[in-house]
Amino acid sequence: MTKIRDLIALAIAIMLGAGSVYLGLNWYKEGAQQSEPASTLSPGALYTASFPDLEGKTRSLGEWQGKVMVLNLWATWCGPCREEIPIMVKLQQKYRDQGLTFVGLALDDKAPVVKFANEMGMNYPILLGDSDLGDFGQRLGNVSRGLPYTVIVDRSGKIVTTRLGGVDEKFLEQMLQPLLQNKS
Amino acid sequence: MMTRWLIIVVFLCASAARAAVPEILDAALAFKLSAKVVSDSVVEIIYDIEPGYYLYREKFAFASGSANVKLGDAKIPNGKVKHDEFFGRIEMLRDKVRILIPITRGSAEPWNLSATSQGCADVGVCFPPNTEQVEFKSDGAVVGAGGGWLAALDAAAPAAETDFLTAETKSIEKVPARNESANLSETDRIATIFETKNFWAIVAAFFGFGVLLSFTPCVLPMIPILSGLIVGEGANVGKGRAFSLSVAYVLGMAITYAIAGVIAGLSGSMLSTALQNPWVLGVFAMVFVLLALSMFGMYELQLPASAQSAMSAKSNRLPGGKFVGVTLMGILSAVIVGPCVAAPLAAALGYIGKEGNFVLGGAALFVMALGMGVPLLLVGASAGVILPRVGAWMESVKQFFGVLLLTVAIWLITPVIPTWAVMLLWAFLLIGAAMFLRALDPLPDHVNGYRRLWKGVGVASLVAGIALLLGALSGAKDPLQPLAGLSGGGQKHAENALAFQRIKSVEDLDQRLASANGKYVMLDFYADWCISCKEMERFTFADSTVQAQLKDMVLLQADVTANSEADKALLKRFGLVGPPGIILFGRNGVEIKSFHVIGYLPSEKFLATLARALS
Repeated sequence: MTKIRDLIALAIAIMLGAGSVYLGLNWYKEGAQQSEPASTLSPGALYTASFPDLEGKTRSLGEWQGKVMVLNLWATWCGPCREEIPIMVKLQQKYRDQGLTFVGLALDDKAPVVKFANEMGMNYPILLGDSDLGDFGQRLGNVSRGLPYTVIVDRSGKIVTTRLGGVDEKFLEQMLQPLLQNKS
Repeated sequence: MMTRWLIIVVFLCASAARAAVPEILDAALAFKLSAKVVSDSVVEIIYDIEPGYYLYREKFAFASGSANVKLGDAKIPNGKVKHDEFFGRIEMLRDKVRILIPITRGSAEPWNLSATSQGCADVGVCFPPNTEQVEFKSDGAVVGAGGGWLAALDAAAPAAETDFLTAETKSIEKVPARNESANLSETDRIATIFETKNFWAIVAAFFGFGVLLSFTPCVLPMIPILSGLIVGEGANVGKGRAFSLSVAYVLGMAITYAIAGVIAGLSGSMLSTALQNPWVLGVFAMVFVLLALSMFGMYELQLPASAQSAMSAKSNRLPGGKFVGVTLMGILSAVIVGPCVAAPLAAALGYIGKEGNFVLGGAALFVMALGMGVPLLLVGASAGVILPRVGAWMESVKQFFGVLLLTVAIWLITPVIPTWAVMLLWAFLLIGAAMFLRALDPLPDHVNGYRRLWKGVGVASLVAGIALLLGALSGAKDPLQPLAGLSGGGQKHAENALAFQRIKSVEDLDQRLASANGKYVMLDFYADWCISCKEMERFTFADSTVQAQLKDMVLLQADVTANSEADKALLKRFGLVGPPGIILFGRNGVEIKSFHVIGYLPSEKFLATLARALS
């Protein structure tokens, strides 16, 4: 009799313990990826920002006005950034024709970026932001200056979401599908 | 004991404050830089790395900003190696990184150093290389990066600092440092900090209390009084004038509290003697429970409104605008508002009384009042433009104090009630706190991490409460291991326990020694309340290697829980004041003095000590 009671008590304790661990982990995971758009940047200010590309040409973000744009702040020295780039390459391939473009804004030197882009077969525009974006990163909402930092912009230039830390394929698909369907 | 609660409270406050900042820290905060001069030819750069963050060993760069100071190769400790497909082998450094940099300098002029580091957070975020400047003055003092901060750390983390001292002495062996006396004086300096650390830690904790108290609605009635005073100065009162008036007002309040603190400190020894009596303890606990109920809003604890307004009216007639008047007003306000914060105040006074130090008492309550005055100073500085918004969060602060008071109540009566009752009380408190933290209410879909954190805390508290409840109901004896009886570990432990023979007196011992037949004899002093005795029993004596070593010995145990005359005589024979204490006798029945175990020793150390004694 006591054995059964003990077992039940133990089972409850284990369930509660597992539950709290799960909740804790969940919170931890979600806490790392702030999905609220933290940026106050207007479409105008966003589209006038310009950076050199790997050929040294100055490119303005306004070039991709009317497309759904995923602006990804990254660097070759940033492990978590490198991990998510294959996903971006894959989705660029998949949704390019539906009006999606990734833009990789590298906070890095040109040489390692060129090397890395070739190795990974990066199929979307890469811009060089030097080692520091200065004011622009802050205005994108990246207060802590951490990388990777991803900004999703709809066709009108409105920042839909910003995220600090790595993104996975499911998250990007979920965010991008509705934006791509909205053609206006 | 009370200090422990204080530490817990401070920790809670600190973690609450930490939870309020964004989850990802800025690089400069995650990797705190400080520096010190080790000798004429070596400087040390220290990175204090937050848990969950790391720095890349390969990414450090140091450069001298002065032409006549040259840097040698920095000595960077090794980190944890990880293989990265892009970079190959990388090393990650965590916790505290101490980097020694040899320097050669042409003259003793001030110079500066730029330190670059780069690292990431475990959650998958990296930071760009971060460069910070450290200035060294000619006399060797460090300006800028973290000088003062390091001093604060010295006081706060004595254990870490001692470790570091040994580490430092070791690591600079190879570098041409000054002679050993330099290190010695460093030790002395730290020793002084140790002695004074408690005082300042307590004073700082009380300041924190004060700031927390200022978030309760209690301080609100003071704001109109103060604003009125400032406005009474005339329409074009300057900001400086308004601020100094507020300072005078807050000082008045602080003096009142300081007097209360001094009185509590002076009456201290009396108070703490009285506190040994179960009835007094019970009454105090009841008072704390009643005060806690007021914090939970069951009733309002205040002077009657008529008395309050009479006092306000009187204070308004005092000569306004003059500093003495304003200070007097502060004193009066403390009396008006006092009863509202009576509950935490009583707890604070009780603590100071127990410490019996009136200087500490006065200082602690003085800074507590200063803490309470922070919002008032803000009001003054802004000439009444900023007013705190009343909101639900103020209630949360009150509830926090309520839980705290109940904690104190339980702590007070713990020595005089049985363990199961202590566990039941803790269980109710934890479960109750969990309900206030909404552990069982579903979270709305889109809430911030902060809410989730508190829910997590609530759930943890609920689980702990349930565990304690189960423990109390299943007859557990240790509040820290309430489920020990359920896991089956208890029985196993009983099987594994060493078979000690109990002895009661000195004569008993002598008899056993005489009949030991040339065997080694080990005598263990034990008491129910002795934590390290229980640890020895649970861990060291349960270890099969230890048991194998002791298998041929005569094992005696003296249970001195009762502290009878016979117990005292036994302890006295070995120069012990009380347990823990383990005595070893040789084959000839004579004590082996080199074996002297006092306090808990883990298996390996115990075995080593034993081997040394037997050899």
